[in-house]
Amino acid sequence: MTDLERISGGDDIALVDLVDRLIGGGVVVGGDIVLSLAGVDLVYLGLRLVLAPAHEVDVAALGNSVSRR
Amino acid sequence: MTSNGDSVLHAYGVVEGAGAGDLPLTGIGQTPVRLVEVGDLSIIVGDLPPSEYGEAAWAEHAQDPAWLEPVARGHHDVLQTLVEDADVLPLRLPGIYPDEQTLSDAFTSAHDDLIERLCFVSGHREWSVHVFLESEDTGEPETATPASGRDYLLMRKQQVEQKGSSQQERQVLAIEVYEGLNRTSRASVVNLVQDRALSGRTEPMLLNSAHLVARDEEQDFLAVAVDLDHYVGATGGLRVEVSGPWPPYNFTHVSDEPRMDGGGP
Repeated sequence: MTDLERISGGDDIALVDLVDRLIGGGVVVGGDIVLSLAGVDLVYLGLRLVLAPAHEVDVAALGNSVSRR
Repeated sequence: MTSNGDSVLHAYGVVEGAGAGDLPLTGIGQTPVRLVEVGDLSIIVGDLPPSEYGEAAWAEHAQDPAWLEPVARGHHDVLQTLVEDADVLPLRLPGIYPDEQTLSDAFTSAHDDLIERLCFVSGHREWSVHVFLESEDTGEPETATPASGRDYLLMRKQQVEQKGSSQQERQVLAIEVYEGLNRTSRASVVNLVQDRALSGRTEPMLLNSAHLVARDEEQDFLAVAVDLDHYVGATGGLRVEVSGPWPPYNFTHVSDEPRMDGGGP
């Protein structure tokens, strides 16, 4: 295994990495987007709760991540 | 295919000019992808059935990973294909517009701002960095049996203090990774570390950062990451993991200053 292979995670992209980028990042254009930003934050919070087993979730950390912008 | 009520428009991203290199053939739900020109920009869009991907569908299913995952992957795959050889500004999910006129109006209003944002990322791609604690030393240090309750308490106090300082040292190493990689980046962002349950990893994550790196400096960036991995591995049992190149999701804000996120509300 080369050094580069060692530091490269597998080819599979974790859903949480995608969601963090696609809902937490990216450009918002226009007022016609169906969900308001507050709505997006709720989706994000809810999704992160769904993705993680309830007993392991650090809810405080989730709250921070949702309000980070 | 526009404005007839049979479809809604999903916007994937924005490229400059009329072309986008090789446009992916299909996006979300294997639907075709096309361009809508707005001034000096082209918006990559798909026409999607409202019943499956419209506002009501988002409201109903957005928190269902089984529904969202293929949408997210379809959105990302289009952008990922484009970013192989073109500069692309990724749009946030959900990006649904009822018809082409509405979309065109919205992007006309944002046109100059989007040009500025595209200029900022031009020639760069995003790289993701996670630093994990690979070998957590959980074994209690070998010590003599305490002779008294007081000795035991003193011993425990020392152990706790040692553990505290080694945690601080690891955090300092993680910051060194960030700063080392930031030197070969146009901009860098620190995001909140992912919960173990969300990352699906058993090791604690100490750093979750994203870096905007020039295409012709990617090999340098990776070489620095390899060196830092060796250094923090030997010094603190940490492991550096890099993934990319990504579309610049974390760098759609125009700023030359590193943006420090995750500091809480």
